[in-house]
Amino acid sequence: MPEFRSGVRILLLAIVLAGVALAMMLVDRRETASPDAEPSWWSGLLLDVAAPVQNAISTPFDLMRDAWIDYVALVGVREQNDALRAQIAVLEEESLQLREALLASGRLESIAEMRESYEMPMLPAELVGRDASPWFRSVLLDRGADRGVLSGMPVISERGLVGLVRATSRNAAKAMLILDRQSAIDGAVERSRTRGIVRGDGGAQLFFEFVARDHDIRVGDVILSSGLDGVYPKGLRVGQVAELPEAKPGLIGRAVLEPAVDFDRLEQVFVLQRRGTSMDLLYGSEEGDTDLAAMAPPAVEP
Amino acid sequence: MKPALGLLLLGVSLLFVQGVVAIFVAAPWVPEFSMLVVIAMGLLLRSALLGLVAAFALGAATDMLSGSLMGLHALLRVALLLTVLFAGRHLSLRGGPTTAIFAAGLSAGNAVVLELLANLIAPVEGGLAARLFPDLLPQMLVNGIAAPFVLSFASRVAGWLGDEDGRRLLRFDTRSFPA
Repeated sequence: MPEFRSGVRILLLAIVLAGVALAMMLVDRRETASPDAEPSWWSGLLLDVAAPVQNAISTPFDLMRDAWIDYVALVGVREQNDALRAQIAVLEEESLQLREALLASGRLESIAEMRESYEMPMLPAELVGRDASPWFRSVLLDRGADRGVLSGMPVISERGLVGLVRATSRNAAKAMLILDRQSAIDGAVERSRTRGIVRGDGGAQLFFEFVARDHDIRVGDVILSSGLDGVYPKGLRVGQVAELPEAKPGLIGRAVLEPAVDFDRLEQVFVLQRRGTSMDLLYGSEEGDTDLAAMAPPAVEP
Repeated sequence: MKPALGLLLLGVSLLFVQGVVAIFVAAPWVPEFSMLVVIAMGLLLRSALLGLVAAFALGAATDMLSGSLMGLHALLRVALLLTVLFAGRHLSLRGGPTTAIFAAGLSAGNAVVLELLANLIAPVEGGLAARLFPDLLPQMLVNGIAAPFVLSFASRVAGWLGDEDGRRLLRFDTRSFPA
């Protein structure tokens, strides 16, 4: 009899806890729809603790990896350097010729103006941890609300679009990668401007879903963010078409993309400090420019 | 109470370690430590009620450090603990290889249920098998390999923090295989 009572108590508690978990999922689902939603204090506290702890844990790993990269893996770099120098000389010459051609047609000035309008404050951040579950794709960054990072801000790297900040605490932020199954980006083919939605599936690939009728997509095409979703800025590289499966009967076609960013080697990222429709590069607002300009990464010397 | 808290803290610490290891190692090859600690909770803690609460808390902590919906891992960890409690009463889980196989099996079950639940919330095209298979086998393997070590370490922590729970240490004496 006591064992039966104990079993009933265990079952009751399990049902209560399962109910609480389901309620949390429903509330979280609703909050996720709003990019302004900030995490609860306990969630923020855990993120705040996790970022420095994970940073400390990763230090010895980083040192070992740096030692490998800086010393052991440098065998034969001199030959590679010479070859690259020669390649740079050729490319510089080519670049010069192209610039002169553009100047001649008067387009360089307009391109420069466009680039200026594209500028927005960027905050460099280090990746200090990855998802605590192998079945989801998010990362932990070492910059948080204290440095102006807010939920809904896009995260990029020098190679292209990385993801979106989903939660922040004072000193850390959790960003969902574009590989995550919950990620969706309004994208367009660079060459033909065919539009579609780029989705993650939680694996290593992306999928570009487009209207099958009258589409113009080829293997090797580059997919850029269109900016029309009001979340990600326009013109960021998302991936390249790697595979174009035979179209099935229906309205929607699907292409497999290779992500522009190598997520396995991702270490440093930049948080674009504008969000929502205001962050659209075409219509860039002035909000936050003055205060945050100092945080932008230094210009790379040619 | 103290062993449950100790295992909870161990689980959260291992979550941090897991996040760092995943930077250097591909995600499917990183052991899911929080799952392994919940298995340890189910087999080591004398109070199943405390174990349930600790498993729920550890699942919630996993949700906070993951891209999943808040509550998804909490729900899974509660279900996992119930499974372990049931299995612990009906199976003899002594020795490293036994616990390794047990953890690998639970790892597969955990992944399938998680995939089904996540698919209800954010559906992804493609069959369940196609989605799971590339990652499932490495996960089962690494969780199976890590399980005896995590369980052995957890049993030491539980034994160190409470005499009463420490009595069950014998069940995890992996050196005594075969019993």
